[in-house]
Amino acid sequence: MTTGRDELIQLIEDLPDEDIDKFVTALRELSPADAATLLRLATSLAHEDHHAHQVWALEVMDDNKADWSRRYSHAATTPRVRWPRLGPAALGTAVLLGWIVSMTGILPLAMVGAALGLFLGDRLDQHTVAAADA
Amino acid sequence: MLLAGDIGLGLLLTIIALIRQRQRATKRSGDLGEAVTAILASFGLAVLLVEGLLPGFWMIGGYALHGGALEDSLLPGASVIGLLRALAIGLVISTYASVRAYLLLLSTRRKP
Repeated sequence: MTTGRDELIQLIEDLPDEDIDKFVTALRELSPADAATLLRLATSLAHEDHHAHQVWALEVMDDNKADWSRRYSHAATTPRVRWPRLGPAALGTAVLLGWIVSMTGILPLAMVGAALGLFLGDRLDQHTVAAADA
Repeated sequence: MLLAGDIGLGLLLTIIALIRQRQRATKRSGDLGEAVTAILASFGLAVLLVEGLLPGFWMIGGYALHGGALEDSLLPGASVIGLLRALAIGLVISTYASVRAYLLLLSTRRKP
């Protein structure tokens, strides 16, 4: 059975080898509640910015164990600043919507359509990612 | 002519994307959103390639080789207004991607 700890390890598998070993060692010392908190935070970070996720993992390893759980428990339930994704649906919708709208002959509308397409496509990308992780 | 290219390439890319999705499907996937995403991304790429990249590079190449008026270097079936459309859309997406990358750079936490 896959545990939260296993999934956390999977999420950061592209960390440098020495960091992975260090992180796995830290995970083995966690309580189940702390591991669950880590899983929630790691999952949300991985969807937003993988680089930030790696940096965060390194910070966890260096944190005082009595202190990080309290701090990251708060972070895991607090909405983070999130810049919209530039996923496949966002790009495709931007091109298609911009192209279709520009067929009216009003060229600036192509730019408005593309911007609207980025917004709508981003919503679909978020939905797809959320559905895959549900 | 170009429209046929849009549709043909879009269909081809969509089929490839859907096949790949099916091969990589897990019990968690299979959502309708994934199929819609594949269609949007495939046809978006097809339109960008056929209506923007191909005539754009054709014009650049023709102008570099022969000079003269830009209109003389157009790909048969393409139009200046079509290229301007592609340019407008491409500029919006490029600007968005650049701004997003910059904001991400500013908001990424780094280890002191």
